Amino acid sequence: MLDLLHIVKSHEDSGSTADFVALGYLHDEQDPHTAFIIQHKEYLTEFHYDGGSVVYTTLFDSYFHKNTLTIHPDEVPAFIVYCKQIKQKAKPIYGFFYSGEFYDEEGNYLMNKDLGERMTCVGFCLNVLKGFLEEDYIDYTDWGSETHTKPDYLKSYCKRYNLDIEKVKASHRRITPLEYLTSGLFSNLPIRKSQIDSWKDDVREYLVKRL
Amino acid sequence: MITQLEIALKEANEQSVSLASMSPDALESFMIVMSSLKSIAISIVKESELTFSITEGSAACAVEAPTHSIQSIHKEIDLAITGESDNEDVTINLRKIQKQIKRKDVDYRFVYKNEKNTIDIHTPLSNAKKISLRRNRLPYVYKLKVVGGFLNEIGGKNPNYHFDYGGGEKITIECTKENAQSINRFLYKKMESLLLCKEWEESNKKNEYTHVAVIEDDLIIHFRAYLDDYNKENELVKKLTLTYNFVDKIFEEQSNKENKVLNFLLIAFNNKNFHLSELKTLLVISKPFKEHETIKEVRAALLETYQKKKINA
Repeated sequence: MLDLLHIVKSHEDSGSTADFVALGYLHDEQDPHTAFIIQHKEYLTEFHYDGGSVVYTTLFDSYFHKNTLTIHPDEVPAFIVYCKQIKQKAKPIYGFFYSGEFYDEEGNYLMNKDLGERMTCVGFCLNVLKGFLEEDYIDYTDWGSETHTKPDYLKSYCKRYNLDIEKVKASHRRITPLEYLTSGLFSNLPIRKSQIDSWKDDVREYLVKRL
Repeated sequence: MITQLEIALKEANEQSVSLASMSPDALESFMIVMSSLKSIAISIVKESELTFSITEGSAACAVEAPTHSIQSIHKEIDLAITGESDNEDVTINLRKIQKQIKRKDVDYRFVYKNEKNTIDIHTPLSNAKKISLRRNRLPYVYKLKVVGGFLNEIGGKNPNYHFDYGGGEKITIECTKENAQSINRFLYKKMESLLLCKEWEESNKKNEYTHVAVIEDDLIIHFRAYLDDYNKENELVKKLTLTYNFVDKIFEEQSNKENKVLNFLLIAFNNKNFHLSELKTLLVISKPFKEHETIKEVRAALLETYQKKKINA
């Protein structure tokens, strides 16, 4: 039944002839990573934020991926150009990409632009989708501060960056790489956390079996 | 290992069928497949580059060639699978192969193989619609152009205006009543318009023009340069990049004109004949400004065209 998830290994299942944009997930118990896996004509590429820089290359790492139904094959050229613009412009020029909300390095959602240029790989991908799609991709308000489990994280983060904790605490949350991959199962936007929650254990089990 | 395309008749245990024990029917099927594969290959790659092989004792045949040649064949097969090939040798022969691999009583393996990868062709081919030649290209293209002229006539029941170039040379541009009322101020003057032009391939058919916008003097040079490059470029990804570059340039150099330019672009690309990615790119670029008064209405109109096109794409 789980094969119905259509989550595939990016390297193995590149026989596809149709263009697609997929949500890529690179497994690692400690430090999983996310990317976009993009097929256009005969080229398979990955686009992601590696913590240091924005990378757009031929598919290199051994991702799992799930095609997103939110981007039509005919829109893949538009998506590619959009990604290349993001890569080229470390800072926004006319506000796209950074559409107002930002992620810090731990996946906290921050409204404060002075801080926001640092984000997780998931935050990066979600921001890319947010800029590309007409509707919001996920309803991030479903993820409360309890989704970040490190104790006192918010407090120490605010101290480190000299932030007013009252101003940013509403934005404190963490969306995981597994949740990002699982979101690929859905196409009605915005995607709710409850939808992802009901599938993510199955997705995890499926991935672990195929490692 | 050399790169190859391989087709084999296989048994339930994935082994190739032995040539020693084939039914006449299976043999017939295998020969059709083998001969069709050969015809596809020689229609794309020089025969001197190709070798054909049959695995000893097995119903497995392969066409082998340098990687780039096999890739060209594979690419053309992929195009044919998606209905995009206009190579008749490929579509006719691939259709024959498709017919055989879809049979319930024989089982095939059809793969692209190089040193690293084996890519399945069987599944997409058997899932594809019946392979056919790509529909003929449309006999016309739509282009956006900046066109200047001497305005000497405007109005009519179906409103239009004329640019007169003397010596009987003139073009007729369709527009709305509202356009006509606004353009009227240029009567008997020179003016420049942004037009949507339907260009027919047949040279004896006249191009058809539809009014998009009157471009202000200080923007004409930028629009003209952008659209000249845009129309010359054939590759969609590069075209879209030109649009981003154009908007960037305006935002850097003419910061008070940015909404005006976005407004023009949103009107200009609001046409179902443009590619879905062209429509989408304008939506992405203008998204941060979607509530702005000069943008809101024209963007909503483009969004509607885009959504209709996406549903039917």
